[in-house]
Amino acid sequence: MTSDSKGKRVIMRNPIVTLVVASVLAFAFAAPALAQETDSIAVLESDASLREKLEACRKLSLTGDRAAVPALATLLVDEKLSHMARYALEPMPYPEAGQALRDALGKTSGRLKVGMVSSLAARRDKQAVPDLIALLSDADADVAQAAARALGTIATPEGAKALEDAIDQANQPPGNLRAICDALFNYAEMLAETGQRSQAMAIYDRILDIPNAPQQVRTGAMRGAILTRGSEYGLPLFEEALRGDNDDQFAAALRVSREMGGEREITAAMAAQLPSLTAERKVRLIQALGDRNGADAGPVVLAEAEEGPIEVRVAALSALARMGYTPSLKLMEHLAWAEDGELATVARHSLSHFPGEAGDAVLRAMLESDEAKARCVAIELTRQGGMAAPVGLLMKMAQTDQDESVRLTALRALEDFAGLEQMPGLLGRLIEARSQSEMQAAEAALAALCSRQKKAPSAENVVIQEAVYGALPDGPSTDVTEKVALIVKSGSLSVEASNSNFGDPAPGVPKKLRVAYTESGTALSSTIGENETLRLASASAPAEIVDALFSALDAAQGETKVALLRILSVTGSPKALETVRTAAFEGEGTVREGALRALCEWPGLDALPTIMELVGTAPDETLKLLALRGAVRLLKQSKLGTAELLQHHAALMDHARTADEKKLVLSSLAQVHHVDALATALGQFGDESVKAEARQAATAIAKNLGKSAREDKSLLNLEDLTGWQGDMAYWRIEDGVIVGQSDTQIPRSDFLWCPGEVGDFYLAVDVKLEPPSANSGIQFRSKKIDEHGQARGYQADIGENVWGRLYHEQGRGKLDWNDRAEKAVKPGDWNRYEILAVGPAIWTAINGRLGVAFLDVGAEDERSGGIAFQIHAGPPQTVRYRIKKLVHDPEVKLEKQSAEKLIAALSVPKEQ
Amino acid sequence: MSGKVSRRSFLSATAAAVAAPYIVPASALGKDGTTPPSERITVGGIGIHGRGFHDLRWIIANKDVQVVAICDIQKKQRHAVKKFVDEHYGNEDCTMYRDLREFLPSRPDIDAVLIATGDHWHAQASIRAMRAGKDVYTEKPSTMTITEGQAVVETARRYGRVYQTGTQRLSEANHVFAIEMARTGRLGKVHTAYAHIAPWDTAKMPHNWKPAEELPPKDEVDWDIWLGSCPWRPYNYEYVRGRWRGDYDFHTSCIGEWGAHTFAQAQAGLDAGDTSPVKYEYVDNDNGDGMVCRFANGQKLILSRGDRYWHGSCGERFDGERGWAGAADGYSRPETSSPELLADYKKVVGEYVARTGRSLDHMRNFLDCVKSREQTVANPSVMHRSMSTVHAANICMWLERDLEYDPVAEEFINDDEANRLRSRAQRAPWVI
Repeated sequence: MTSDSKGKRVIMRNPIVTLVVASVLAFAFAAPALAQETDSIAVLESDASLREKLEACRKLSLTGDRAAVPALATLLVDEKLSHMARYALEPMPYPEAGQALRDALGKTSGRLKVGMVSSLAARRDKQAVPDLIALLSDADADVAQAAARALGTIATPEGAKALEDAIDQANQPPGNLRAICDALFNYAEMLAETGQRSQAMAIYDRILDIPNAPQQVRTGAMRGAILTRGSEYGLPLFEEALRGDNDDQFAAALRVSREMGGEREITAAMAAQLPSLTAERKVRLIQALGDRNGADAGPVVLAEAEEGPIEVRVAALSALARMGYTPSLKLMEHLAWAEDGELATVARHSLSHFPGEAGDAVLRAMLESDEAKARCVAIELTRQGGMAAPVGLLMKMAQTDQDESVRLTALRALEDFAGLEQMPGLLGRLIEARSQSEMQAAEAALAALCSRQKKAPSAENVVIQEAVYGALPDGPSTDVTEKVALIVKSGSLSVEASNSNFGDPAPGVPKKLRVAYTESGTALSSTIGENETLRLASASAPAEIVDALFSALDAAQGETKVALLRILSVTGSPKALETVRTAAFEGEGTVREGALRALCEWPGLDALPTIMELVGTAPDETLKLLALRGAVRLLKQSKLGTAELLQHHAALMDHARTADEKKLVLSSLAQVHHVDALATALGQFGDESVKAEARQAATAIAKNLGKSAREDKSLLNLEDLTGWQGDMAYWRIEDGVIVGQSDTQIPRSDFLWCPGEVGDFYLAVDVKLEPPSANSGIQFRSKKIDEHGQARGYQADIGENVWGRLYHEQGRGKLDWNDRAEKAVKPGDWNRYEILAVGPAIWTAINGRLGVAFLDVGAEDERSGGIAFQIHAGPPQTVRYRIKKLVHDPEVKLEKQSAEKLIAALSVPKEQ
Repeated sequence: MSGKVSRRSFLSATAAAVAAPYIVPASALGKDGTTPPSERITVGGIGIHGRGFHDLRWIIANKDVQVVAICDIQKKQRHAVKKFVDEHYGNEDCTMYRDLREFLPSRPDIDAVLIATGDHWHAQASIRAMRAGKDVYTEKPSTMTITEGQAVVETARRYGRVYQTGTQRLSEANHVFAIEMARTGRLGKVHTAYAHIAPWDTAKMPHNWKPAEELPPKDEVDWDIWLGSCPWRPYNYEYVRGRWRGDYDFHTSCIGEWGAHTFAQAQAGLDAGDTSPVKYEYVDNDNGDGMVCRFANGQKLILSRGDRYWHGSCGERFDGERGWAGAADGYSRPETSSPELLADYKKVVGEYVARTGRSLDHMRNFLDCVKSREQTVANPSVMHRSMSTVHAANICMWLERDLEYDPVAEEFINDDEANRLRSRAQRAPWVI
């Protein structure tokens, strides 16, 4: 800015530049006001662009003072700047701004004039009234209407008189009349608010007299005429509207009844009209009566509830409940159980939510009714929140009511309400169940009870091992182990991954929180995104519940025992798991089968080892599949670390025999983003019956690999061959390029070994071979087998008719000998050679074209080794290697090949 | 909690579970639950786009509604809505308008309008519609300034119109529960309400121009109407297709984006639907997170952007002496500081329905009120007072200082600049 720090005005060289910069950023609210203003005025007076002047107006709208008025005033007549000049002037608390707007009235027409009028109205500018009155008869309807509304807003007696006079002007466009009436309403409202009710009433009456006024104007006037008269004198008008044929007036009267408050005369007038109305109007009037005093309106509404068209009865019942009219309770109680359909629904709802105690008393009486249906309905209404549940009574009804349907209804209601005290009673119902339904209801109630009583373990059982927050896995991060441990120590079992907790190690980057911890000794780990909340422990039911279930279990047999085992699974108790395990492995018949199933459906991760064991030992295929499903379900929802997930999936895959079993494991495996999971999925490519699922899983995994890829730049831009091994008579560095050259016959292939080893890697090398008929190659994951540096292992082949093929030097020979890439070779020229090896999969490409896509499933001992460049035995040759890129643990992709394409291209050799 | 139940399916599930008899029972809709066309509520749409189509499907699904017209400044949208409506009824009756000044006065047969224009048109269209005698359902946020809100309140009262703003959570059982827990004293004396603001964007907004494009014929896109009362800027189709969020002229910032919902939820629980905070405390960040708005009785409304108080969007939470209750999108049940507070869930919601007679379906509540002439749950006062809080919170962030507000005079105390920001001069002829 060009003002000094004290805000003193100084000469500006180029205010425009600074302004435009500021405007693109934001409304510069917080900049020193005076500095902004002087700059902005200068812009307005300069030959700056339209945009710059508009921005200057914006700034002045907030901070401009009197000094800005002249510059803004000149713009009011400018077609393009008039609005923004008003934008600045309208909110200014100075009379000069009003003067400028009034002056501009006479100098503008059309839109610009409408704008001036609107701003004068917003300023409540009384001095503008004479000018505005003159504009009421402006030929431009927009101007005339704006003037009318402005006069209403400014609300002076002269303006109002002019408006009234204008009503009768012949040939008014209809819009003008609406605007005039709107303005008069505005004025009348001001009068009514300031206690001048009779003057306001006169205006409303005047508007009511306008023949052919639009409906909304008539009803608006009627409203005002009634309200300004008050309940006593307005009553005839009100009653006429309720009685009359005009539906708009009827509707307006309903609204007015709410504005008039609770006067008894109004209620009485409404009640008196009710019996003579049509059903449709009755419904609406009853709704309005529902907001009023029950004692006055109750009897007549109750009469409507007792008989008549169903829609009227329904509306009446709802209204009676809203009014809290207690004499209606008897009817509600009767309809609630003696009727069906809509009337019963409404009666039940009205009864259960009847205000105060009276409704509860009726419900309690119904619970003890002689009618079984009434008792059932009362239980249901209790369940719907009709009253605080009498849990003890419900238990008693479930046990001893003579009616089976009542017993069952009560038992089912206990699913919502049963507490620890009901535990013995519910167990009794389960053990002594008189029917299958009763047993099911008792089991459901017990399971719900266990689930409700579950509590999270104390934070003491959780030990934080390591916690890292940041742009995981590779970006900047910070160790927050102590901080997370502190949070847990403070008693909290949930941790929010937020900057407010951990600071911001990687500004502007989405972060993650990774926590490794143990819960009651079980090792777990979990990673969540920024601003998510990590919950560190699962809940379990208190000991008294678990103990009660165990005592019951000792005596139980057959179905009952199985039901108890299922309930135990809900408790989350470690002891429960052990018991179900025992029943499953040592029990017999129904119990054994039920226990096995309960195990497979166990909700907690603590059952995983048992379920894993079951997968291997299940006595039949059905149970094995169930166990597999259980294991997969637990693995999917678990927070286990990758290592555990891999181990479990590998074990599951080993046990999976049928296609269904394998598919199940593959579906879960797809979520483990690790190269070993990829290997497991690829291992199934040989099985035609699951190949599609295996490919799907492999693709899903492959797309998510490379998250911890590391680029190795040590081989780029080589200056010498320090650390490399080979016969240096052949090898040298030339401009960063490895050159292998011999002008004479080469007796034995020589290999130039790179320093270091590779496992999963991506290598891109530009290769030039002269003459093109010569042969060479790149060893990878290879071993040195003698003192001459001879190599054994994979070779990405180079040479006429072998480019891009996969050979196994000193070993298995030709592995993938297809000729796909050869068309892309530029003989004698530089060729981009890409090699990608991930787990058992190996790919090559020449100049982007895919060559090898080979799956070497069995060769687990050849997944790592050295890289070596070959100069082949035979005639003189020159081979040049320019290393472009080496990445360890890479993404699954080549320059022109996506993960999908690469996985799809993989084939399994026939003999495997 | 699962969080997997979609919001819509959950909404219908809870509505059914609470089994509220609405004001207009099914039997009132005539035989087979259908209403004869002559007795239906006739509805016209104004500016129906993305969210608008959701509202349109919502309103048209009511058997006592007949959608008969669409007014839109864009030809493509007019035709898309007409096609949708005509296919729904199997006729060709939906009429199209470009300019609401022609549409509104020429259709006295239309009872109500559904407004889902860009935000800057919500109040302007609502006021014009109510002056023409129509009831209004409008999307949120329903005003751009404090004075616009005053004009909505005044116009609705003057013409006795039924008005509902699209803050549908006020009608959803979970939020109703949280609000009623606070309102009825079950949480003890409530000292604080937390309200969720959108976790993206900032409170200060630029007003950049997108590059000028050639102005299409009025019939295709009426750019002058699209801009309405806002400052002129060159045409660019991106605005018309909905890319106007985050611009000072057209949006109410990260605070208004969700605050339009959550401040109404919070003020409902504080029983402050007809008043405004008296103090806004500036927070030194770019989005208003943590701002404390104090009411005259000492209660606080605190803006919160993260998920410290909920784990879903558009949440609110009430903290009282006896515990807290809150709700947000995606909850299967509201959340409370202890299970005991949740025990009365059905009772609390059921009593709300019985006491107010209001449907737990926001659109149905509007339609019921069109018939009964009752005030809706999100009536003009509720809308205006919560939007005033939005506007004042924005102004507080823009001016970077604490503000004091007089809720009766509806003006800032001793702050000329803040008071200037209560309104914006309207561009002619789009003045109301």
